[in-house]
Amino acid sequence: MSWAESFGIERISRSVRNWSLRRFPQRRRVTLTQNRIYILPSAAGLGFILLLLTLLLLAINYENNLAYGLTFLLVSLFILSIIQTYANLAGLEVNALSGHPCYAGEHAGFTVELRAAKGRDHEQLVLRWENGTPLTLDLTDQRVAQVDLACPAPRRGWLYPGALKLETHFPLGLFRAWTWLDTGLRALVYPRPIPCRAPDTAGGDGALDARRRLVQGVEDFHGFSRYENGVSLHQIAWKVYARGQGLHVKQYAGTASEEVWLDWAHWPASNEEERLSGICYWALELTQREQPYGLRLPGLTLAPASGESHRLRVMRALALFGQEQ
Amino acid sequence: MRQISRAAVIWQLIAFAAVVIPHLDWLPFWLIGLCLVTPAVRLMIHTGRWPLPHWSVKLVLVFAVAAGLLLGYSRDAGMQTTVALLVAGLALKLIEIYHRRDALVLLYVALFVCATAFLFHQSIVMAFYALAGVVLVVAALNSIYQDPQRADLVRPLKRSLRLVSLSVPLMLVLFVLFPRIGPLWSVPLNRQGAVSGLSGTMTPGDISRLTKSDRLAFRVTFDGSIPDPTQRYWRSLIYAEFDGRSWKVPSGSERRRPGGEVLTDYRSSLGYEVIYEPTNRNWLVALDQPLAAPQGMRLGPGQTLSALRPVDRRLSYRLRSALDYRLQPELNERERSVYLQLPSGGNRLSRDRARQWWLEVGREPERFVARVLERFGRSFTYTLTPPALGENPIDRFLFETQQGFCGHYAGALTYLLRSVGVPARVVGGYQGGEWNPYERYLTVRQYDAHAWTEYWLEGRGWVRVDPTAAVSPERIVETTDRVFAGDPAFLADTPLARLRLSRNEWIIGLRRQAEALNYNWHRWVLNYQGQQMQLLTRLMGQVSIPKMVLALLLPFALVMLLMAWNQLKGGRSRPGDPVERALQRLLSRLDRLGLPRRADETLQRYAVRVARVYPELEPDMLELSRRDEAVRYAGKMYQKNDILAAIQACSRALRGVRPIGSEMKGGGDGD
Repeated sequence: MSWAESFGIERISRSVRNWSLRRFPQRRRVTLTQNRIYILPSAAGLGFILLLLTLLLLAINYENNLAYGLTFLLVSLFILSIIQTYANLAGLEVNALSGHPCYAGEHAGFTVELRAAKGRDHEQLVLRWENGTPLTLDLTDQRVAQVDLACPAPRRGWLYPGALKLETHFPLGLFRAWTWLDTGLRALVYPRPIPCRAPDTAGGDGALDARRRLVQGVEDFHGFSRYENGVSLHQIAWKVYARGQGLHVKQYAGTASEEVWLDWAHWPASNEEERLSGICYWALELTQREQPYGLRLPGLTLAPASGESHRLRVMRALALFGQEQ
Repeated sequence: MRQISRAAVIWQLIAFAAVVIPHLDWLPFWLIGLCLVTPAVRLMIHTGRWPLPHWSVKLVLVFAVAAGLLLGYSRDAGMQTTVALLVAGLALKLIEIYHRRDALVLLYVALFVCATAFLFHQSIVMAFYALAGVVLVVAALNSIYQDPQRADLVRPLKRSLRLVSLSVPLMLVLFVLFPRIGPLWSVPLNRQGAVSGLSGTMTPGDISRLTKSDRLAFRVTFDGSIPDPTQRYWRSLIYAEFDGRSWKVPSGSERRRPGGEVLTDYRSSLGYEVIYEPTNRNWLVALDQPLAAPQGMRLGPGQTLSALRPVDRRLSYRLRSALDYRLQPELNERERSVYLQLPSGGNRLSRDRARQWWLEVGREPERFVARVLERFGRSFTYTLTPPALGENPIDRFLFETQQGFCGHYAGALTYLLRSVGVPARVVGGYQGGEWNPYERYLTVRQYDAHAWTEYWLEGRGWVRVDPTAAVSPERIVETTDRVFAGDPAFLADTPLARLRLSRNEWIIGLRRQAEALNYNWHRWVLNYQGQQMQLLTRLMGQVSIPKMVLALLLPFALVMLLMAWNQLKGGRSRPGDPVERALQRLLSRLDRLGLPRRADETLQRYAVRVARVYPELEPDMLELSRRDEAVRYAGKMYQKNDILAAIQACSRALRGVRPIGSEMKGGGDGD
């Protein structure tokens, strides 16, 4: 906790931060310069000032010129450490690369790349999102580092992690230099998957008893079809391939004959979020079983399909359901 | 709360040791023991052999230490107690440093303890030691902010060295300019048994004690020319009271104490500055005769200068003295009785003989003195080891032993003068001193302590007479060390100091230069407040606040700029991969030849381009690019050394190449 917060000037510090963020346009790639690096004595620095005053008093009262000298040496050190701490941030290039999706209630990861200024070391840089967990790294031997910065994602939808704060106390801890960056990064937060019983009302266009169909689908081998690019390796008939008859795909009755739909309208859940969580769980489950499925949400229908890109489309639809896109 | 790294723990131990070592000479033994034990305990914990101590153990330790401090220091509460307390606190804290905050407390207190070492030692060596101590503490401070995974002991030291060495110029500026003000409140230093210098009573034998010591008494620089050796009488005390055995500085009731005296008819005066070593006594020294006391001092009875409180630290003051003068032409009744005081009985023989001489010289004090001195010169000898004098010391000295030193002669002469009704007194102080030709100052040591006589003449005032001069004239003209060099009693307590008496010119020169350095240290560093105004006036003319502020800000801005430039300019060559470095060198030389490598160019394409312009480079460049590719893509076919060899081959080939543009002559020469 910085001393500013403990002194209860949090509000001022927040408005200073907002002001500082308004000064610069949103950027993915930023090189830190003097107009966005702020520096103030840290709590340890204030303690050091107290020490300096005590030493000065000692020197004055004992008229001891060597004590004066030592005091002044430490005063100079204190002042020079302003530049040292500042230099630890200055010239650093911050490149906000991407945000990674996660499920609500977890932490979303954001990849940030840091590139050291030419010919200089940066030590003990602390990066954190406004509410995220801090991460400390050194840029000494390696000149470029990519880090994944976590930020808690309590709700589904887009997660804007807020300002990225870069902070350092190096080398003597007497000063705290920091900057806020508006990176514009965001991450998609999927609904939290909650295991539930799938609805069993069957019907041509209604929701289906997914479980029954699934059991059937996996069990009922139907025949082979020729391999096409993109088909899951699990579905390839390896025995056929081993006989030297080329790549074929096993066809199952369930996947071929009946379409599985995850339908919002027929989902048995009380509220919206629970419903989305349940659908999410089943979407993941079906993806894992390589069972093609479709999704029906109010105002959005995704035709049955399987595979990674389908999953992403489905998850995105679930994450953003009912939210402005 | 952040934990500190293992390397940082080691650094805390180093910092602790560095700041405690200067205090070892006065800390009580049990505390030194504690300072040895706790780092050992911390090391055991550090290596995982012992667990961190239970809180009850710590509590017991704290109480034990507090009790020890209370017992040992219950009577005086000075800085020593404080420092001992801090050292004990440091030693105990050392056991439980675990978090960053613990380490911070430890290091800040360590810096303070480091500064307090200057209250006890102020030599040049100590100053440099403390500087090294600061470097170590700053390294320890840096180590706690380092990556905890990086167990690196050297990096913090390097960084600290750089930081501290950059701070030194700023420190000097601050040191020179920062205004020195007097103490805000009085802080007595208690240093046991440190009373030194002249004593308030003079029993024959006393000054002998001082001649055994070569300790520095004070140093003087003169504004103009140096007074003649025979005029270097530094008065300090008036021994006006005689009890039959010892001469004493009058104390107690006002009635028995003489007051200040009137100095008239002086033609010229001499200005000088004295740097006086601490004695823990009030009295100071002044050349015969001081005109007025400096601020904070007092010109007391018989023109003796004294400080208002015991001198417990080195003191520097400026004075003016008149060498030709008339002192106290009128003597009042009270003063007359003080300076004629004699014990009623004893030393009968001396009194009788004095009265006889008095009549013989026709009651003229000057002739009387001459008579006594003539007698001294005829049959007395000067020695530092006189025989014991017993019951009637004056009688025995004058008529039996006839051996003694300044105290004996001055005492005897004063006694004789008083017994015939001439007011007289023994003056204690120093005589002579050693001139340092390199720095032009006078060093007066304890063995220069001296006693002489003043007697009062109607209309003329007090007249100085040095009976020792009659016995041993060289004692006055020569420096003391030369006079006594053959006497085994001289400096008997400090055998090493006799080295100082070497007559080898080279050794003398060396010694004097060392002393000059030390003198400058005292004058310009330890007593800088005495020089500051003069120095600043010389540097910047009339001293004013805007000028001071400017003088403070300008160097600061300059050093900060320099440092910022040094820090931020970038491009500082990094000691990294030797291959990379060699390649960079090669590329920059080719760049100077007008062939910069483009950012998107592979080494191979670049090599081809270079070869087109400088065909003589072709084989080497192509070989280099081939090996580079082999390492990159074919794995182990080539080692890095092969690349280095190829780069070196290119560099050698480049040496013979003349740039195409003749205006760039020599551009390809070695670096």
